[in-house]
Amino acid sequence: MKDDLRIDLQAIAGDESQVSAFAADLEGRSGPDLQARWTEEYAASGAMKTTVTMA
Amino acid sequence: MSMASSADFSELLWTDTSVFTARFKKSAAALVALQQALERHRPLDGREQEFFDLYDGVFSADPAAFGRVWTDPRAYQWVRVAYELLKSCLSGADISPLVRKYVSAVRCAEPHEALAWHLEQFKMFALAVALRDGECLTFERPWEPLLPMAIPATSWSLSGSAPLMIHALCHQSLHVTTAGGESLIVPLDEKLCFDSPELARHCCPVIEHAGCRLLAQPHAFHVPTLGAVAEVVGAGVGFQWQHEPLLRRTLQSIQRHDPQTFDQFRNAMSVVALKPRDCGDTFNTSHSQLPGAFTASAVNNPLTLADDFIHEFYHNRLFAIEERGPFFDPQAESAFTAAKYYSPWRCDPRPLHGVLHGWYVFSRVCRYWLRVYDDPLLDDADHQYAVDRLLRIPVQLSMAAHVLRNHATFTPFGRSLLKAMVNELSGLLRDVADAHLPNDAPALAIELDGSYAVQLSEIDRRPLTVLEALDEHRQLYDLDLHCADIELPRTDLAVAC
Repeated sequence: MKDDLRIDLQAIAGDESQVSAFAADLEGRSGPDLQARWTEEYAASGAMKTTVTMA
Repeated sequence: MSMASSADFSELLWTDTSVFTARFKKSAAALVALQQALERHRPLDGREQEFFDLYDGVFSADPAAFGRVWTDPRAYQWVRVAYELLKSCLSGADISPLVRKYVSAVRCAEPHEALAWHLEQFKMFALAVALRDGECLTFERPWEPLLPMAIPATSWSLSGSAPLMIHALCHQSLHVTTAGGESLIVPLDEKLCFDSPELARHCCPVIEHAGCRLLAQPHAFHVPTLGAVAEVVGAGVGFQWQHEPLLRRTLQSIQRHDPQTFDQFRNAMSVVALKPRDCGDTFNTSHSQLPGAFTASAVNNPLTLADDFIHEFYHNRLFAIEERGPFFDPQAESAFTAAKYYSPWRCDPRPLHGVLHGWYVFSRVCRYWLRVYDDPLLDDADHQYAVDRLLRIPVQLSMAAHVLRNHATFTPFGRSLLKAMVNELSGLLRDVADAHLPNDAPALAIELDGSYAVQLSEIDRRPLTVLEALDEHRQLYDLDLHCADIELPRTDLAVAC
């Protein structure tokens, strides 16, 4: 999938729906509930374990 | 979403691969909108012109070449930051804490200045597309990348102790000048030597197995403000080459014991980097802003490293699902920042979002160990460790579910997903019960060399059993008694959320 994912910007630019929603959001022309949702920033980290072992 | 069936939500949680492609296509749509809005408003008084020129080149590139570059994890981060900065410039909108940190890290005073600096970084992607397309590219203004810098979706990276300027890409070679004013030509071709006291050229390993192709590229994690994930940068490319066989055997282990996850993994993950276990404060990290990437500590045991890789893959998957809509009620206490809940996997209190991620990823890690446990070729030591994991993880999952049930407020979308997770947990507990494990077993931990050692009590250093280890963890770290009423051992841990 990732290795053969074709992303055609010209086709995306021609399909107004999502681009228009983003552009409206960028220009402050729409409410907060639109497609421009981004994942909240979050680092999922396995913190350094304090497990004690019999080395 | 409200009309979707529970089977739909189960598919969305575990198998639907469109969540990955949707994220990349969405970030491409955001790029198009960004360019259009920039062109309409030109908030930088002409400083955006070179971005337009580079964008035109990318816009007309082969969609396969652009797709390959745009699935580099940093493309998502770049467009998200650019998007927020432009929105702030155009409408005065507040920027998120993520972008505020970024602006500060790149030493810009305000959004317009930061946007101008950030648009310069698009040169990284333009360069990568041109390289993949076999084109030449000359920058109007030479680009000073943050070093080390990995060229997206390639195995190439540059490092140096002093700044350098990249002027052009011609015939698969970079034309650069060093801080000392020396002009260099850096061939991006392994057959051609390059040596300079001021600049190092690196080619990282590409780990290929059964259709999976992972760049082992630590320099791809050199992104301002992404915290723990950048701990891996210092490990360097040489460290990845040292561990190339381990990486390959790890992919083999995932494919052998969890082929369904392997299928998704090879289609969604593009960059990994290993670091020494004692480097930084974390073992393994995935970041929501770097889709398709994760870091891991190099422990010389492919069976347990596969556990880590599966774990990190499912973090990536859940991040992608999160773009479909919020899980937690935004009116309730922040599930992202209020770090005060017990997590059975951590020694520090966690936000509810972290507890949910733990539950989600360990659900699949547990399924992996069920299959490992059934492997007739497993040696005794690995078998004992599988027993530990299968006794330990289901209890931890049940504790995490308990915390969320009692403390989280979900959106309707989040509730539907949670129901699917509860169903999965119930099935998993049944499957673990069917494995006829002992009631308890010695608790084991992994040593640096990949061997197993008995886990000792943090209180009195006596050897622990798995159930004792779980109980001790709760005693030490569940300070607000979020899971105090869970009895150990339990075999009926399925919860109704």
